[in-house]
Amino acid sequence: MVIKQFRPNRNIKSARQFEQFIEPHLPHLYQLAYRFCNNQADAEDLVQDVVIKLLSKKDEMSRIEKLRPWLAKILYHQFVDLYRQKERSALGLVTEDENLLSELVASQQDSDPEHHMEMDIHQRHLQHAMQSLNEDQRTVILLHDVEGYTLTELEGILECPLGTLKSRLNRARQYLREKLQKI
Amino acid sequence: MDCRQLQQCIDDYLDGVLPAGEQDMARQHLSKCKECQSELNQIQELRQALRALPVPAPGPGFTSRMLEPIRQQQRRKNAVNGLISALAASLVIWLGVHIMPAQQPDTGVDAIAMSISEVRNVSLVFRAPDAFNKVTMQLELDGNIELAGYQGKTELEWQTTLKKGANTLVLPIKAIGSGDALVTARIKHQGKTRIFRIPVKIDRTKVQLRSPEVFVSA
Repeated sequence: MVIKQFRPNRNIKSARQFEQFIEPHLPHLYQLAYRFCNNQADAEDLVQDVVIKLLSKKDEMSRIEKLRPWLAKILYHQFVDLYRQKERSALGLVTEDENLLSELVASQQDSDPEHHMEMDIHQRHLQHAMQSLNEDQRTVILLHDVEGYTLTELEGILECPLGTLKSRLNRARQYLREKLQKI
Repeated sequence: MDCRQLQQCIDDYLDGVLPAGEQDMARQHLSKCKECQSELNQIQELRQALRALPVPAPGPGFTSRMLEPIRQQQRRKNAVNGLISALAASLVIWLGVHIMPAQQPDTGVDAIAMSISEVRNVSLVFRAPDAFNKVTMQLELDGNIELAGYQGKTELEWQTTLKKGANTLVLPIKAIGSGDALVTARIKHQGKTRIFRIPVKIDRTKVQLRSPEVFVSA
């Protein structure tokens, strides 16, 4: 018995079909772009670059079985090509700012300010800890722990062996825990 | 399953991608081992905290702005298709296309004589010695001319392919005032550019064309 493997064959030939197809994926692409760029303007630029790139990959896109990791791979490589080379990575953009916490405290105007302040301070510390990870570790944490891609999917997205990914993930988590415990 | 084995597959367990049998074995080990259960809890807590990190909404009109390049490209394509499908060439200019490094303009094309308000379909026939993919075609209009149906546009650019032999581009040129004008066509391929300049002379009185066809050898 011959078992035929399922191969999608989406009809994405015209610009209109491409537009209809890509539109539902834009929110996720933006979210992922923001995680990498850490600011709205760069994230939007990155998504637009990806959309333009995808336009020339219509045929390939028609045949891709798992689109989400495939799109993530294209976005990640675009980020690396355009942004890391320009040293515009979020890693270099965020600096420790001692005034941040006091500003945050001053800006709290909530019915339960203590609870929300604790939440935001924790998130702020976590965000800073993330920025101080090395880029490889941060990328794995972002894609796996934040965005929920499996390690097998990351092998394809990052073109990196599974063992290396696991090792980066463990070191990154250890580093984040230590940073957060010091607070 | 022992502690070392569980540590090896703890992420696959959390991601729910372990084969059913191994998933059960991991669950059984976790139910008996406090250390591994604690490790699992810590990973889950960290994941939850990371996933709660906020992402601000994109700016207004995000979807529309992201899709605009596609719409622009489609508009350009439609404009070019309109040009190419223009009928009845009344003037044919043969241009040889050897994509060469030199950026010197091609010379030797006779001026097209027109009168004010006249619309003339000018066919540029690019004779390519071979097929070329991903060729960029640029058109530039200087002086008192415009393309009928594309008022106000002085520059057009699009990607195309050239087949081996004759490739015809029909330009509906309209004279909108007297004086000298110029049509510049640039063909770019792999960093090399070939430039063709077709002069146009517009007089207040109608002038008979010298020849319906002009051949330019490359």
